[in-house]
Amino acid sequence: MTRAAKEGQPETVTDGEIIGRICDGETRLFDELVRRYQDRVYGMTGRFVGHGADAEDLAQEAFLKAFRGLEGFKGHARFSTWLYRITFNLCMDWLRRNRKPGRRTASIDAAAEVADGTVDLGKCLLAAEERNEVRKAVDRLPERYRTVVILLYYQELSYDQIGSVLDIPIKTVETRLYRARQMLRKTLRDPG
Amino acid sequence: MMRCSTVDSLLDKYVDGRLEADTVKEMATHIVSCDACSRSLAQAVGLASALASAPDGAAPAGFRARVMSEVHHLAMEGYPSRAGVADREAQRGRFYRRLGLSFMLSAALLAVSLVIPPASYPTILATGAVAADLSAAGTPKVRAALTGADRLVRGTLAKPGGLSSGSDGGVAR
Repeated sequence: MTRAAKEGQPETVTDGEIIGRICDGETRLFDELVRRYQDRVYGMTGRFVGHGADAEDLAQEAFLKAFRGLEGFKGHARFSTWLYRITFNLCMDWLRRNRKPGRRTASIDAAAEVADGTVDLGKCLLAAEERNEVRKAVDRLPERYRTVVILLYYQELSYDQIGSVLDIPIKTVETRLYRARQMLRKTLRDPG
Repeated sequence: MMRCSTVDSLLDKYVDGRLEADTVKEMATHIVSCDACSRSLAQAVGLASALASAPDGAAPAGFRARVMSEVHHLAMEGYPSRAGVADREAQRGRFYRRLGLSFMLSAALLAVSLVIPPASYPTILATGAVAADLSAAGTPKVRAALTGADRLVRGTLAKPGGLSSGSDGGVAR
């Protein structure tokens, strides 16, 4: 099932319409925006800081920050992109404050708890153990490369959106992804 | 025949579906006869699929309700409605108007104090003698300005609460 279907999309009322009505005083409609994006926002915070109380706090703060700043949302980008950017910045702030030197706090492994079923590789199948290896490899990537991998594969953002969230050109997104994949392949070829 | 290094550089584009059909065909021709590239392709496909297949964690139960509870509090503070912003702007406007009035009154009082000896203030307020005194002072322009200031001061003093009701800045107290 796609994420859109899972979240009940296509939505009959657009994000922009909802935001307009919220700004006109119907603040309870923010609930609908939370419903639409809570899994993605929580998913992102979980990827970066590890699933748990910190991820939930950050996700909540992201929504509240968005709500407080809704009046200033100009609609130049999609609401989702704007929200992801807020979320991403909060995650980076959190990592700067909490991460000890040389230690990666984000635990891709934790996501394994929610991984279920076998992975369809087309012609190939990867065993669960191998999937865990992939997650560990992602977790070990330098932050700038890990970020684009998470945003592309886990958050399913487009190259455009990744560029907007990270405030970098698409060409840089492509370059980082290329290098990230190279590193991942190398790590998976030569583990240890 | 395509070289191994070329195949390697094209793997990601292949996985992302961004290669032309002819290139894919050429690549496939190489891969079926090259074990190393075949393994690389399997790894690239496997990597992309493994990355894409991991589902996100769903937000915890009650998350939405907790967010909305906080949102409710923020809404009580006036976020983010236009009305709230308009109120804040109106408050700022009122403050600056009052500040401006305070400065005008201060200037008027200063001007009056330069012309009228302090000993005569009680008499002035009681009898309205200032205008007559002012009419004899300085050039016509100065007299007109002083008379206007005098009226302003009197008008302000005559209002309920006098000076204290119109001064946020405390200048005229």
